[in-house]
Amino acid sequence: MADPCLEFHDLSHGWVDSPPLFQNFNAELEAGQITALVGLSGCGKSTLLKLAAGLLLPQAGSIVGRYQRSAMVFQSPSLLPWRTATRNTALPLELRQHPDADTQAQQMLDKVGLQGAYDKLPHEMSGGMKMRCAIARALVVQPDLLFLDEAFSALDALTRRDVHALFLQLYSDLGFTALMVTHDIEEAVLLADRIWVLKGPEAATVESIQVKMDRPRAPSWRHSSDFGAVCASVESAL
Amino acid sequence: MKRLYPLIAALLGLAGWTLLAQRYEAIILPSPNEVFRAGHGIFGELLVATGWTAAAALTGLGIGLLLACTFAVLFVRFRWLELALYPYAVVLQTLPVIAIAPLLVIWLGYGLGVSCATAALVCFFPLLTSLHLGLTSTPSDGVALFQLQNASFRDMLLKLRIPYALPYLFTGLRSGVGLAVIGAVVGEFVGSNGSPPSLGYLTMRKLRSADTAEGFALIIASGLLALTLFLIVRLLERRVLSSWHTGGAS
Repeated sequence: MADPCLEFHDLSHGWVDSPPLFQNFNAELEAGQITALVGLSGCGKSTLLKLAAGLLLPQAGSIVGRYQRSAMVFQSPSLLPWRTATRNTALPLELRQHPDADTQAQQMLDKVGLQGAYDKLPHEMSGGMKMRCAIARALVVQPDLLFLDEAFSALDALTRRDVHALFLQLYSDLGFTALMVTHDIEEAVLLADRIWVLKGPEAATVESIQVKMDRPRAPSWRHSSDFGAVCASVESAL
Repeated sequence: MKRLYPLIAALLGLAGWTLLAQRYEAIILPSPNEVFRAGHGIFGELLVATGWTAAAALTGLGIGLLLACTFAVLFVRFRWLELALYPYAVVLQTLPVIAIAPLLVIWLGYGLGVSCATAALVCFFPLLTSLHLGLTSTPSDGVALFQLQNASFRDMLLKLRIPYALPYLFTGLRSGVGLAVIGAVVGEFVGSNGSPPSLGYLTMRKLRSADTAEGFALIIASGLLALTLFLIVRLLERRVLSSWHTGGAS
């Protein structure tokens, strides 16, 4: 078995004058898998994701990371409104002084189905197109580790279904490790190989549920009885 | 129809002014017609003075903008500097420029320097506050995006914070440009000896010699100068922002 991509050791964190969000959190993120973080609202899922991404420093404990490049897809697409789809997608490469940023960005836009939208500004794109562009921007750096912070929650049901199918396809094609926060149990079961359920006071308990479904997965899997059974087990764990 | 509203308001204002002027002597309140004739009589002088005042206002605005940009960026980069200096920037704003102008005459001597300095002083604070607000209003996801790529402060400033701050900058410039004209005219009241001739100096001279109609014409020229500069800023704002920011397109 490969070394875990991320290890959380006795992680504790909280906000000033508030009870700690989690105490002595321990977990390992398996390389090459998609892991979903679910839990009740306010249990610290997004904070844990930001700690994992290095955007916050933990108050206690440590995080050991074994990856070269990471990227994040946020809840809102967070595209820069003055940049076209190509220039938005090329941004991470541009920041890394990549010589061929625009060409690579357009290749990635092709992969997410935005062939005809190279020169579109964000306000000229639909919600689904913006999210596809945000995914392209994250994947253009070929990240070993991808963070998703409720990335699909703002999309309408039909668009979300399309983006789920796209994400499953990209995962099959590119192969990356992902840690995703979601409050949608069905989304977690559909996309993830493992689901961490944060529960108990101070998220002291993490129940890890494995989703035993071979890849590549078809989105139609959500209609099967197996799918319903996994959803029920996650719900009962919450 | 809505475009006609300002014109209707102006016509009503002129009619009211004309009626009111009939009740007073021209030395107290000249009629619009008398002001127009007086302005026409000194048109050449008025044009040259407007040019010099515009030069002072724009130089002051440029200096104020440069200082505001410098301090806003430093405040974002060094939080301790913001904590140390921002209260004094607020104090600077509360000092009456008319009281500072004589001091500037002592330091800079009579001439254009005083009006440039007063213009810079009055527009500095609104530009600083709007720029500082703009630079610190960058969406947190955008900042996180740059942090994840280990972007430098320079990249984050040039590619993220400054573009997001542009609408705020233009808001500051719209008020700053009018203030710069006021500042320049106030500086000219106190710090000009007529060389070069300017709107503030001429207004003061004409009103002291009871040429009220000419004084009115010069005051109106100051207002028109501020309005013209405001419209130029608005045009620039549309050019720069209209493709991606709703405020620029309105």
